[in-house]
Amino acid sequence: MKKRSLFLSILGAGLVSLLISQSASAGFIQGTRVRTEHPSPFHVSVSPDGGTLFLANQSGHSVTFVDTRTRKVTGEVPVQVQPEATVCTQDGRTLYVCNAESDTVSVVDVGNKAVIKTIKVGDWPCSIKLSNDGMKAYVCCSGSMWNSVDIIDTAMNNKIGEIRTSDYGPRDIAISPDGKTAAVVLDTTGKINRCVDFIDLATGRVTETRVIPGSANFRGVEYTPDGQYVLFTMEQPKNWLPVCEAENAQIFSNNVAMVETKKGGKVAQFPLDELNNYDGNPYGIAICPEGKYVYIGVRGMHRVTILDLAKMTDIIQSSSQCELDAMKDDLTIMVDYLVTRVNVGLGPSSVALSPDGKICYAANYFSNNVSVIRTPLE
Amino acid sequence: MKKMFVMSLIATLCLFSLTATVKFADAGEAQVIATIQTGPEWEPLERGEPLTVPEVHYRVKHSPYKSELVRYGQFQFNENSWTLQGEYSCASCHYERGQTTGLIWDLGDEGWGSWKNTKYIRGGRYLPPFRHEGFTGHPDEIVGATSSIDRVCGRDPGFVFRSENFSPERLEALIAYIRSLEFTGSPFRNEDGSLTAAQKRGWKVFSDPKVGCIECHPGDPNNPRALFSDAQTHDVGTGRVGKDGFRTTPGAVFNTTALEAGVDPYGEEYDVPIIGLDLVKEFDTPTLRDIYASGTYFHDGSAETLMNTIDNTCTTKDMHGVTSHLNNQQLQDLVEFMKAL
Repeated sequence: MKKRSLFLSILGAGLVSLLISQSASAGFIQGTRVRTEHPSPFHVSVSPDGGTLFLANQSGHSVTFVDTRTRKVTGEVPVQVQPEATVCTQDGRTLYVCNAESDTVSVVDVGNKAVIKTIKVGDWPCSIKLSNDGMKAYVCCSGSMWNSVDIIDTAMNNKIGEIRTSDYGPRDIAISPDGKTAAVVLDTTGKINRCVDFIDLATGRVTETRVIPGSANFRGVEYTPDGQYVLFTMEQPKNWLPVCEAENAQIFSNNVAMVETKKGGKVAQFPLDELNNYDGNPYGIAICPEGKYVYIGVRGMHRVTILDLAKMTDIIQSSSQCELDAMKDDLTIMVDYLVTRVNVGLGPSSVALSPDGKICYAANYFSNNVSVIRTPLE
Repeated sequence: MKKMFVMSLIATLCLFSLTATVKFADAGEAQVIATIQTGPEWEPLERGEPLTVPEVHYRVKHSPYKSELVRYGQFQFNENSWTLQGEYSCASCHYERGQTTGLIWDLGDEGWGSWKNTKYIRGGRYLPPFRHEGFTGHPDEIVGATSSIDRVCGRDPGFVFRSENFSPERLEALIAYIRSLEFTGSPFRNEDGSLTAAQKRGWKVFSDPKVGCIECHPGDPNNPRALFSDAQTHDVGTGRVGKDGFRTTPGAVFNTTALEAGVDPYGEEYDVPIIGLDLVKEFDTPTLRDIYASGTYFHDGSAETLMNTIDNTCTTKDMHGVTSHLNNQQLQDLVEFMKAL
């Protein structure tokens, strides 16, 4: 009898775990209702101690945990539909996950690998960052006719307010090193001159809106460690020209914008393209803590491009705004600040750095894996 | 013994120098040192080894192969190597959520100088054909999605990609993905899916025969399958044809700074002196589903907001619905209703 009970218990436990594992990896191909077993990691973040990677699986509707020491998957937590970003609290105990299609944020207990609360937010939450004191989480709600950065109280895990951006489509947010300001990139549908908002976090008001002429497809944004600049990935559509010559960046070119954070500061759009070698569809961005290198996940060309931030800073400091404007279409200057391009898996949508900046992780959407890159700092 | 000692010394030095060389060569060089697989391994098919057409048709029709085909199509949609130098992908304009950047482009397929708004392609399979004019110019347009994509990306990729043709197999996968894209649904309704008070008022205006919206955009907001399109072409006062139609600013999102800077996009180099000309006046009635996400509006993107589509600022008076007698509140309610679809 005892043996039979034991057998049934084991069988039951097995079935339960099978169900859990199935529910964690069951999902839909993004934008469709076609079922898939591919998790499709869209975003990667690192725990503050550097010990764990969190992968937001856009098609798998789950978050995968990876131990960075053993480089093994240690768990998977089902969340809601189409998670696109995560952030871990400083104590490493709680993870916040943006579920873009469900318009929610899942609060995950990292230790128990379980969702403890789900918070309703605005349309299409796709980016989340914590304030420097960890008391608030800022969620970009990037819907096509939505213009809010929702604020979550991390003690109570409730939405306590929202910041109105100057236009629709807040796509990503970065907090300044001093914690006083946020930069939010606005990927507004239908606009050819898209903007970046600077927000005073104490008052929740937009203090400046900087226009990036001839721009579209804003993705990731980061502050430099000295707080002097923000950098974000973008594309330049040349839609005033007829689509008859794709060569020489005459239809689209791919850039990283570098914007001085001081009021009315310069705007540079550094080309990521070289003649006959384009970094098509740049997505995620990371800057090493020492401020030496910039890492960009190039989703359409399956590589991570590494740039020399000091050289980019030299260019922006020594050039007038007029010269910077002329530079954005110059495909010969990329070599001046390119460190190297590292081929990774297919569709690197997001990059993240270890706390010491010596390792860069790239989430490869189509390959369902993470590339571990030894950085030039190592 | 001495010889042996010398030999071992040389061997040790060689080994040391080899190790040192490897170490020094690697120092500071970024490279992938490991790959952590977190899901099934996946690779696209090699270019030289495409599926055969019968295999593709089998996969389209039969689950579970359909899933793999759609994913393969999604990969191609986001892949840049199809352009000549890797400049952009489908997702650059119909960005990764299958929606639209809302920018206008002159693809030249209706003659140079005829800018067209980037189509929102979610749910597109429900309303073929897809071109703004309501035709594709090919006899096989009856097959819907195939004809449009086939023309732009398949038979003559020169329009967009300036690169090699898609093989029939890859085209099939791309079509399978695009045909699978679903509408997102509105975030502006009440939580239970019902209309808000303003949206109900807007529905009343929308369905008023004197205003006429529902004549070309038929549908019931309580029916999730309603498309709010009659799938016909109409002249709603947006086409700019002939002498009076030439415009210097073709569309609200057109980058006029190029012209102000003295750049003539249609100068001698392209031998097409006219800008902003439409070949026809009638355009396909778009669905109103997900209309909140598909701005800008009209075939040329001339209406920047939903309000601009009904306030007679971008159309000939009262040709896109009879709205000139509506007050501001009624117009605003109409906008709120459209946002709910």
